[in-house]
Formats: sequence, structure tokens, C-alpha cells
Amino acid sequence: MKNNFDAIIIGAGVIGAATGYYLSQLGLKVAIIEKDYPTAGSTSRCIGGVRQQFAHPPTIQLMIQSVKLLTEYQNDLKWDIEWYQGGYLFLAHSEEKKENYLKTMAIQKKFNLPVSFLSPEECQKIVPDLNLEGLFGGVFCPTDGQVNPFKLTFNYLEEIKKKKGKLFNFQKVIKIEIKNSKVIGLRTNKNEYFSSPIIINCAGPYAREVGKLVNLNIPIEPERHEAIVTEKIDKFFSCMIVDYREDGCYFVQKHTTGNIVGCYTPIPNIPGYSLDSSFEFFIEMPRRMARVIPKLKEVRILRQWAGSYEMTPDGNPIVGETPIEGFYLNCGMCGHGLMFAPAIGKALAYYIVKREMILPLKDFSLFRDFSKKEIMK
Amino acid sequence: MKKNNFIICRCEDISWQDIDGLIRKGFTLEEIKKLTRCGMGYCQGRTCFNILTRLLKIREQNLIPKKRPPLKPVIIRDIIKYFENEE
Repeated sequence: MKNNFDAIIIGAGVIGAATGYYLSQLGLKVAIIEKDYPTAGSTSRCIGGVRQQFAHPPTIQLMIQSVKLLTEYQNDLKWDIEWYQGGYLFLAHSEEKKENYLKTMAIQKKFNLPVSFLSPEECQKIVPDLNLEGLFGGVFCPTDGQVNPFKLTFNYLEEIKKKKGKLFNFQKVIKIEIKNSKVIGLRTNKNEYFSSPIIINCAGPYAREVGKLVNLNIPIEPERHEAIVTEKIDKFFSCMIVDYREDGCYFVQKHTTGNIVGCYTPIPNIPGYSLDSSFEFFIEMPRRMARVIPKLKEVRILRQWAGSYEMTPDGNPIVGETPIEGFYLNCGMCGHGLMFAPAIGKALAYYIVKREMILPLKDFSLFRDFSKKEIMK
Repeated sequence: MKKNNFIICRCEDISWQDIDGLIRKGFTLEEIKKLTRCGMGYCQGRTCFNILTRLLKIREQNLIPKKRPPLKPVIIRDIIKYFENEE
């Protein structure tokens, strides 16, 4: 039968592509069903940051693995993914923030992350024209970086095709068939049937909708986040700058093109599937950026857009098994899908095929206690 | 430059052969935009997408990448001035 596969992935974003890549490397014949074109959901809307600076130990382990894998893709496999380790600088604008950063740094150092706390003057050496007003310093990790989300996804998809995997674009999954509480296949809106004993939900902001097809309630709520890009300018700074004040923002200069991309987390949050751009963001974001680096006042804004963060109650992803045999989740990335993808795709694939836990996946299980809040996003 | 090759996107320096190669591989215009940055430069697709939609005889709006605000590049200094006047 032509539509017989060893595993079917729902969603051709970076998570689906990474999961599919590792499954196909482990010898499975993979199909990816995508309701639009690959990366159309959240992947193409993200600003491309990759960091290991988290407070939650399993997330730190995950991200150290991701950085290692991105380096391997670029150096050993010669993938053109624009991976660049320019670092991440978290600015502290209060004594309290500085204390918090020092506490999380202690956790990160246990994992040998090369983080250090820099004085305001040292921060200015990394970021020229950084506004020192009210600055207590910043935490810097030089091995964090940036990657091109489209190129990473397309590299995964090309490798899947080389292993006889198939990609089905512009098809939406409308039914998942279950027999004796095991998945057996699915049907799309083009009335095509695909059979497989393994189905993986990598639908990002739409993961909850996919869960409903098997009567599974996945605690994921999408939120709108907006982003902005400037014109190209000469290389100015190489790290992601994170200003965690209530009216802060985060932005990075793309090392390949020179455009600056950035966004902020709206307070209060904006739940829902809307991907409209707002005028409020258009006037607010540039002001926040120019407050951090005053010289940016002379730069032009080219474009704004929006994307979804798929939020879980505790800010951690939902990965692994469900009560339905053969139905797996790899979703709820809370805005960290791109950076999690290499390691989390690999970890889930190894778990599915070899029952091997290469990362502490039980911390990301659907069956965990969701009431524990994350300390640092 | 060869007769069958010419610049489509002046901002990002993308030629017709770059685009044609990707179309033959089955990529949609949205994907081509993201892979080559055609239409993501200073003019925001004003030049390249008009040429492309004519060459490819595309009439369906949904096949042409979405237009994003602002209408033309705006210098941050002017945005801040607007912001200050509001307050």
C-alpha cells in the first residue's frame, strides 16, 4: 500500500522536521502531513535565537544537547543553516534582577555552562553604545547563538526525503483512527488515508486541536507574539540582547544579513490564534530597542509580523507518550521550539524506536504535575 | 549576464535562475521568499513580486506572500517622536 508508513508526523515545522529526521535516521519510513507549507505556522515567524541559559535543569541539559547538535550539523554534516554562536546577554536593571541571575547562574554552572556576570562597562564592550543608565550588569553566555529557522527545517526535510520519507503539504488531518486503544492511521481533508502504528503530534499552536481528534485534552493555549525587523546595517553587535524589564524587549542582529530582529512579551498576554499586527507594537517595540541602544534611533523599521507561542501551564514542553498507544506528543514549546528542536526531536525519536531516554523526558511528560511554575522563562 | 538570467530582487540580489531552480523543485512562493529572502529586502517586494507574479502568471492572491506593515521603511527616530507627542 502506498500510504503505509512506520511513523506519521502531524506538522512540518521545525519540531516535526527534527523528529522526522531522527526517526528516519533510525530506519523508519516517515510521512509528514502539513496543513499549509513547511514552517508556515510558528517556525517561519520566530526570530532565530538559541540559548542554554535556563533555570530548569532538564531544559539546560536539553539546550546543551541542541547546541552540540547544531554545531555538528554545520561543521560535520556541512548543512547551510547559518548557525552562529554570538552569545546571549541578559541585562539586569535592578539589584533584585541581578540576584536572580546570580542564583540561576549557580544552577547553570553545575552543567559547565560558560556563563559569567559582567559589569555594565564589560557589557558595553560586547554591545557598543549600550545604554548604561540604571544598568547593574548582565549575564553573558558566549556559546548561545542564532540559527536560520527555514534553512534548519528544510535541511531536515531534505534528509527525510533521502531516507524515503514523504512530505504531504496543504493537507489537514481531520480524523485519527484508533483500534483497541492503539492508533492505526489518519485521514486528511483531501480524503487520503495514511496508515501507521505511530502518530506524532507536532502541530505547535494547533496541537490542542489535533489532541481533540483522539479525545485528548492537551493543556496548550496559543498566545500572540509580535516581531519586527529593521533594515540591514553594518555589523554592530553579535549577541542576543535580553532586557527583562516589564517594558523590555529582546533583539539580535542577523550575522548573515545585518538586519536586526526583535520582539517583546506583551503584558497582559494576548491569548488566541490571531496573527494580526498591531500599531501599538509598531510604535512600542522600536522605542524599547532604542532605549537599550540609543544609536538604533537612526535605523529604519522594514516590517512587522506576528506568530504564536504555544503555552503550557508550567512553561515547559509536553513530550512523549499519551494514554493512546502509538500516539505521541512533541508540542507546547512555549516559544522555544526552534532552539529545542534538535535535541527534543532526537530524544523523542530515540525513545520511540529504542525506548532509550537520552534526555530526562519524564520532566516533560503529559502526566507530570503542571502546577509547578517555571522560575526563569 | 546570460539572456535567460536576470535580477529579480535588487535588494537581496536574487536572479531568475535562483528562483526558477526552486520552482522546479516544487517550492511555493512563500517558501521561496523565506529561503532566498526575495521580497524581504528594503523595497519589501515592491519590485520583485510584481515581476515574479507576471512571469509566473499568478493571479490568485493567496499564492502571493502577504504584505506586511509598515507601507514604507520608517526611521525609529520618527516613531519615538510620534510616541512622545501621544503622551
